Amino acid sequence: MRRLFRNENHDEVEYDRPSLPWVCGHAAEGCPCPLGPTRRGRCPEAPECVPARVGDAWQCTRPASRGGPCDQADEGFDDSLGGSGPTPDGQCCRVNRCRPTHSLRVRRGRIAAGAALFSLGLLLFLLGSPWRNDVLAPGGLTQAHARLLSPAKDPNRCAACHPGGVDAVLGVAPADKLHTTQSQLCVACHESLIDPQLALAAHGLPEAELRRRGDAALQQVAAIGLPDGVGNDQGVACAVCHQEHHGPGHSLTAITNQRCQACHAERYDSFAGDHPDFGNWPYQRRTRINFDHNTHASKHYAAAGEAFDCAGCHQDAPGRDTKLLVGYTQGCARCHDKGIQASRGEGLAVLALPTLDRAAITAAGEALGPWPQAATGDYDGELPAISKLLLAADPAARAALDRLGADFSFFDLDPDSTADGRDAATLAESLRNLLAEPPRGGHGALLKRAASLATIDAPGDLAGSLPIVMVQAARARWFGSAATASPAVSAFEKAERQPAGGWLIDDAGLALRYVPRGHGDPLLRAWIDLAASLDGDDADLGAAALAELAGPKSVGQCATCHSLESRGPSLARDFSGAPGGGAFVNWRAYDARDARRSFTRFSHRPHVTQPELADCSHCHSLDPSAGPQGGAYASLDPRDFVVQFRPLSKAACTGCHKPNAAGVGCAQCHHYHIQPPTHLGDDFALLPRPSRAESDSVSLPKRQPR
Amino acid sequence: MTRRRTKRRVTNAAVLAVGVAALWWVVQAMDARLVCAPYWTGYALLAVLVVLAVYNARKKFASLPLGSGAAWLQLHLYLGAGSAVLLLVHTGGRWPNGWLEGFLAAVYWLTFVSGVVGLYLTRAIPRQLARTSEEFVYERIPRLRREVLAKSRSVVLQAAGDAGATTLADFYTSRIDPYLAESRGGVYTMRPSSSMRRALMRELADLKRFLDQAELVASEKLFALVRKKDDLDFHESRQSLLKRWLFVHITLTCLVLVASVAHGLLALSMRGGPG
Repeated sequence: MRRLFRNENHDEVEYDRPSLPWVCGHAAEGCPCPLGPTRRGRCPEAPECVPARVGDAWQCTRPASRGGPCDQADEGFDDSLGGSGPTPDGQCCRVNRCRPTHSLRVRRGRIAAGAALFSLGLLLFLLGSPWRNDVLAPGGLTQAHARLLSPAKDPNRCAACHPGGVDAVLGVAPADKLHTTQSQLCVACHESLIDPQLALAAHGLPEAELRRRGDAALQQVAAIGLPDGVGNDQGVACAVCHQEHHGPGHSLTAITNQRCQACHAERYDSFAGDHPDFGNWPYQRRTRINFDHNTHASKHYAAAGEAFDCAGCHQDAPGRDTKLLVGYTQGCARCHDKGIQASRGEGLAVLALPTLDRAAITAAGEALGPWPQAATGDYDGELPAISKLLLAADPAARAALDRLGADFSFFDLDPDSTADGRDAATLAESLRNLLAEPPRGGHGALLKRAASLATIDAPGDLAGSLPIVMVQAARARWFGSAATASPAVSAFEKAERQPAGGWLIDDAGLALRYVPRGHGDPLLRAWIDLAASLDGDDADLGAAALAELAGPKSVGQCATCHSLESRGPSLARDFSGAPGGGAFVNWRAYDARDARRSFTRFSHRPHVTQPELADCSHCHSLDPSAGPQGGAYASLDPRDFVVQFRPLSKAACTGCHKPNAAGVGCAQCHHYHIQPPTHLGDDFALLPRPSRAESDSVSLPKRQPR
Repeated sequence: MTRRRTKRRVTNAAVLAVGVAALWWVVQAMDARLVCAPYWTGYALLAVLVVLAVYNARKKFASLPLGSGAAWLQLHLYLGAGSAVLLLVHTGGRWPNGWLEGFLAAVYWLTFVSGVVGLYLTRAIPRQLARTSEEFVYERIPRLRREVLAKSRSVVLQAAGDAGATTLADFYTSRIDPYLAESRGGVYTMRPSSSMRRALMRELADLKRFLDQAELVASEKLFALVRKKDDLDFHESRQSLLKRWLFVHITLTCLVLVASVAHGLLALSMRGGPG
């Protein structure tokens, strides 16, 4: 039985229990019963007191707080509760009845728990509702992603980027669906922009390449080790830098300098103070078009009395982010057309019959066979470069060429040499076959020969619309019964009569010649491309062909302005004397829009709006003391050149690029994701991405087996 | 005492400052290692919230040797301040724009503000209560109020009997008894005022010239009883505010915990995948 917790002297030792879960229902009235409710919140319905025996009588002991002894003045209490005074057997005559209430603490706990349960229930309800994606998303997507990932109510919308975002109420994926990473999902969509194999590698470079590059900061990185996740199999997760769910206005590419400094630990507290100077940037390579700024400014323009104005050749690209060179017609033709026309001369010999020594060949035990009388005598004459390239498809002729040397001349053959006599006979036979093929196989026969040397995707350019009947006519005139009377018109005159270019038969020289159309002639361009691309065993042939087709006195003088570059470091740097294959020709000037994304970026647009920067020479100041380019362009290495501009000083930038002005963030001028080419060597950063036209014309390397 | 308290505050504030500086350094170091710091600050924040919430549970285990209540309160206060810094670091100072995250941030800051308000109340109200005549236990106030009422009625009845006049009794019945019998309204609870007591006492003082000797003696007792009733009301309103403030603070704390755990689970389930 519950006992009173206070004795009769209640007022002095009154004891409250606010921590109990239930409170007497009379507490609010100021007269709680001394027992209080049970633990389960029931009223014990106990008597108001335990009467005390005083002598022979029982005396009420009800405390003063509840009105005092009930046998006295009992004001304020309901008589219906009972009578007054103890019963004769010593029991209390009154019984307390109430409806216990929760204590303040319990009510507080219940409200808190109720609120928590309600919010949990609401959350679960929303996760199962059409608003699930809104609840799951920690913020709005950027505009580009939001458009791509519509509709917004798709239950699997999150799964497009989150492996765990599959269609489940809580968005928690089963373990078997977590074999992919979020970054892999990013790359799956962005593979057209980033190489999936290297997308997560630091800067998109193989680790060995990353460490090899000689930047001072990277040396430091190599010494201290890369941060976690950099350079290992996992790479740097996309989300390390690209933070989504910050709303449509958030820039995914806006990254902090600290992100860069995770690897580039050398701290750049300020651009002005700590950033290294620009070195030779942006003059890290020669221009693709051999244009000598100093000579033009001081000599050619001065002689013509014209102002050397940058804008005459460099004009704004659409968007004004970069400058573009004007085309040949607008920028060069005015002065250079004459030279190109003059260089045509009597045309480019494509096929020519050398003078052969029949006696020497017979002495060597070979038979010369049919050969024009006009081309019989002491060894003399040259095989044109194109002829050599075409003859190289014939194994026997190729062997003879290999023995004689790619740049041999018949003049150098020894009449007393049996080997020379055999080779001469072989080449003569091969030449007769070459002349006989077009009438039978058309242009295809020629292209097939060229294709055996290198893969040509646009073979029509190599044939140059050669009239087959002209080959037949030449063959008939040179080898047939038709007498070859002394020509009334020389090849030079014939060429002059063909200002639009074309083919002609040079009966005097026993040659089939091609007269270029002028600048941009497709046949010349195709054969130079082919010759430049030859490598390995064909390198000698290519070099000899380039010396003739792209030499200083070549027809068209293409290589006077269009520079040749090596495709890789293993190749010779000088095509004039050493093997020159594996190169390409810069037919187009640099176009920043086609350039591979490199570490540094610069946009002219926000700069040229400043009045003082509108003058190009504010930054690009010619250095007259640098002298002319000279023979620098003879090299295949684009880094071999004379810098004709004064170095670009960092001081030119620091005036504006400071905090709270133009800004000093790394990402303002530097790219993180660069575009490493797959087919070029480690000098790729200097090399241009082949333009669309170039990639169409020459694609490599699918060599046919000989 | 004041000096000791100042020393304690300086020490605790210094510890908090060191903790915040260490947090900043760790987050910067994580950032420099390309570690996703928000995950770790999230873990830390959840742990801090649990410790803060445990302070309430600790009261239920007063008998266990878990440290003094005062020490726990200090820990609660300074850790609460630190949690705000931790949250700012965790969110990067941005206001989250997701539904759940926005709700979480809202209830967190409401909890924080309610905590600051509570800190003010626990500091200001005891001083206010100390200015009254006595200190009253909150749970006993109804009974004491009832005793005051009973005593006042007894005094007035006796005075009426002794004086044979009902001047005081009439005034008591119309003005004082309702005041003593009824509790004060919600407005008083929020903003206690002694204007009613002063008005009653002024009226009672004006009535004195019409009272005889026995009623004058009784009126003096009524003055004391009215003052005591006013003190009881004041205590009840202030202590009630002190107790009911916790309703808000604890309820918000529960919401923060629920939303935090949900946010953490979702963040972990949506993270980048293996590795």
